[in-house]
Amino acid sequence: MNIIITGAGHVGFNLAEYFSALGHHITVIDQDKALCDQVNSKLDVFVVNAPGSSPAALAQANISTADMIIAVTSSDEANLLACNFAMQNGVKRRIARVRSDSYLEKTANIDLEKTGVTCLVEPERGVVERILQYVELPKVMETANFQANRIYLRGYKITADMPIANRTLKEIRVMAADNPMLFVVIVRDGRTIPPAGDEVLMPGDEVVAIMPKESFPQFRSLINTKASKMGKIVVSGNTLTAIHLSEALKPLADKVVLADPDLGHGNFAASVLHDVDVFHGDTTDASVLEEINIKDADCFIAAGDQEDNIMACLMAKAEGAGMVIAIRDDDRYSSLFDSLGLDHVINTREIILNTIIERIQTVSIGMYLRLRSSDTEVVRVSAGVRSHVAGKTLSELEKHFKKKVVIGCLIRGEDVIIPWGGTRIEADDEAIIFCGKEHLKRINKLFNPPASE
Amino acid sequence: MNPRFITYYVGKLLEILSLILLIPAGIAFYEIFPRTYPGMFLDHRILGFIIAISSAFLAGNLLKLIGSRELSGNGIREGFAIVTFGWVILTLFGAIPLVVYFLAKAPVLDLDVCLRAFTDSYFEIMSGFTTTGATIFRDVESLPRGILFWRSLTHWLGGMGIVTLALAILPAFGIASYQMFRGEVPGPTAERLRPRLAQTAKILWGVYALLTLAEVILLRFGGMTVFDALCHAFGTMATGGFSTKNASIGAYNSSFIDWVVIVFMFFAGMNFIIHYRVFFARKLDLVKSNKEFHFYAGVLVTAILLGAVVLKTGGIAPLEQVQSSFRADPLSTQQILDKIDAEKAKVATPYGIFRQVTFQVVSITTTTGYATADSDIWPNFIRFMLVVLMFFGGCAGSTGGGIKMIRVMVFLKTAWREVKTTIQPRIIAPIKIAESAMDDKQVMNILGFVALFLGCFVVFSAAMSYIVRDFTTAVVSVVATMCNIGPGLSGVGATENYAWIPLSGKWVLTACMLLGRLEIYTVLIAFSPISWKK
Repeated sequence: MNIIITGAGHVGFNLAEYFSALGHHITVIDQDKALCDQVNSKLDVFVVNAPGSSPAALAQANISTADMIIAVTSSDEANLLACNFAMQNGVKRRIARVRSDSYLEKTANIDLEKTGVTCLVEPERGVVERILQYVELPKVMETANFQANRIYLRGYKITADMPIANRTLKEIRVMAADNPMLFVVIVRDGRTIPPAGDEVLMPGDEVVAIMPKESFPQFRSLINTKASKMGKIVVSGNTLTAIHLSEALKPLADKVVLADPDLGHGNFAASVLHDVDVFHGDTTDASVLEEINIKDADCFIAAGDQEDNIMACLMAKAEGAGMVIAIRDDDRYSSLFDSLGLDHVINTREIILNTIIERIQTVSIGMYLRLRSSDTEVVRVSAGVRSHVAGKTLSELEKHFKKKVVIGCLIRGEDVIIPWGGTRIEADDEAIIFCGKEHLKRINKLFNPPASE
Repeated sequence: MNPRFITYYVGKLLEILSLILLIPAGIAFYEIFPRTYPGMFLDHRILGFIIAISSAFLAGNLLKLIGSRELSGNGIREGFAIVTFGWVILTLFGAIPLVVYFLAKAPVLDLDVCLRAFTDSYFEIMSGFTTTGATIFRDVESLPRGILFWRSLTHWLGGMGIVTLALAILPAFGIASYQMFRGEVPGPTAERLRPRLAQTAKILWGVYALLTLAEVILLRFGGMTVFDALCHAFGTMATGGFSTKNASIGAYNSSFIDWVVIVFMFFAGMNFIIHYRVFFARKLDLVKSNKEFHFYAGVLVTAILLGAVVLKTGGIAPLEQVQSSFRADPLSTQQILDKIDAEKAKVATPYGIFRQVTFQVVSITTTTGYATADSDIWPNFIRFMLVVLMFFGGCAGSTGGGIKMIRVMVFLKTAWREVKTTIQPRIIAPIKIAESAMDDKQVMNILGFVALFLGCFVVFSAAMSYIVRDFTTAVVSVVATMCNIGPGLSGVGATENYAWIPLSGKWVLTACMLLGRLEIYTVLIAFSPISWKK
């Protein structure tokens, strides 16, 4: 497939890396020479150094033969325009990233689809949603939503006060009654054990369950946690994400405070945010933390665009903040965070990539995320028409999976199915699978039709 | 500054005035029509208008002749100057019919009489144009109809603004037109409804005229004559206050008329853009989202409730309070007791209290100045509350005077912000009205205005305290004229008038009215030396 990506920022770069690795032909357009050089030296892709919506650049990128355009420059307008030019050149799939809310409000009779966009993505929203999940349920260890928030994945550490503690998975299935849910990963003493029916959940185990949205209230009662309203939440950072986050956190807390190290951006934030106290100050500065009374904060979220996020969280924790959450855009030092005492570290790159890839859904095998507490990967695959799995029940496939591969969920058209042994996989079903990295190749083989035929 | 440019447009305004004066002249003619006789045009009731029309027309054309339409520069100073000098000169020519009336009535003609006639006429017409409604007539019911109608008509012209009217009916005023519009429209911002200013002016005047017509019909229905209904509708919609009755609206003693006037005073104190949205675009969005309107309604409701509770529990003021209050013509104890009894009868029932308090509060807050009761002999708490409400005034874009609700809101919010920023120096707290942040320039403009307004109040109060011997009267007369209300307290209370005030005092108050109506800045810009420097 020929894919044009406009914008070589970290979203664009990671998309290019990802699709290129899958064997697609990628052209990257960016107006920043330095970014272009970086892409050129690191990836096997064609690079055009020009503004993202420049007709000449699009022509140079052979837009008439492209199958897909992904416009992810920092300018909403350039992204929309690039999609429009792509439509005029017959490009079938046109994805634009839009960050400003003003394009999503239904104020005038304006249909963005008519400008040529087939798919709008707002990746920052995904980051905000992930943080909201952590804030809403402070004990949660692992959280992700799939399929436009219709499938929930949640990870918890089992404690003795949970109704499901010291029960077998079979008993839990009875307790869940008509609410389908599946425990897909159990980690005990750092080792992942297969979630067989007669396995007992011991206090101290870390478990991950997958369920449709409707089952979530029942799940919450089974693990005995309630959504709690926070007293005060402090957000720091001079980013759009910080502003969106502050806005979204309002219903979850009595008071939301935003600390913005940049005065100009802070003025902007203060003008668009209502009922949020906006401060001008750097949260790595103790006097700033003092002024915003960090001791009273139940939660501190560092959402800046710099390395400071980790330091700001450590400072806040030291000064007495409750839960601290840091946003990062790379993987470096990630193994240190647990020992540093950070409650959650959100990797925006992974979320943004997942958001976009989920919306695109063309690839047969898509990496989702690596679970934090174990070496299990979560992948999403679709069953090919003449593939090995099509038409088989899970019990029949067990000889291939050997308890090492768990199918957590099947997506059939609009339906979400939590499978059991008798569930039959049909062609074009999409499956969310949990397995170790070493099994990925086998899954790919099972779900794709034999190449030779 | 281009004096010739200003001269030209002031001339043009005078020309318009001469045309408008044909209306009261027609009414004056109609009054004596059945008894036509040779030399009737020398009857003072008609003669005044004939002199006014011809002199305004001649002077207008003369000014246009020596003026020029050429303008160099951005027209900002010229726009404000046209408005200021326009108002001063229109008042001068508009006062001619009254001057003639006074001179015709005077037993002897000497300098003193002429000076008094001129001062009183100028005061009265300025009070009309600025929609103040302060009158120097002790007995309005004896006035000829032409004069009565002209007083009320000046209200109506001044309410929406005579310059705005000129912008609406005349083709392009050129580049100074926005400045002129801005100089005359009350409130910190002059909003456009349509790309062309002439259209905006037409819409505003159209809404204004339709609301006035609706009130005329309702008042006629309530039992007024067409003439009285017209005059009172002019006085209401312009938030003026001139009446054709000595006892103002109270003369009708009709619940229906009271409520019609209350509702239309309330309408007149609102931003006319809201009326436009509701009646023409048929959208209630502004009613829901306009924070100034909510504040305005909230202030009124609070004041009415407070006033009703105080009046219900405390009753009419005791005899000593009423006796100690200054009056130009002192009343005997018996007269005061009669007065108190009359007022007591009006507020004998809970409904009576509600009706009277609502009328006085709405009348004062919208800066109209009509009265159905003598609020000056109500408890001191209510008297003080009414003075505070005078400062509040109507909304921006209304015909009301005063500081304006939006400025009071911004002022209070800024004060609260200072408290917050003192405790938390790093907090960024923009002043927001309806979820949109105001930039600091606008906020400073408003704070500056409030400071100037209060500064002028202090200076003019000092002057009046020197001229008038009663302190309350002196101070409140300045508030009542600067905020374009009319009746105040004590010597200028609801049942009193401005006739007894010395000439010098009348000129001070005339200046107050103009400053208040044109919101100080316009007048200051026109007179400031920077505007006149080359």
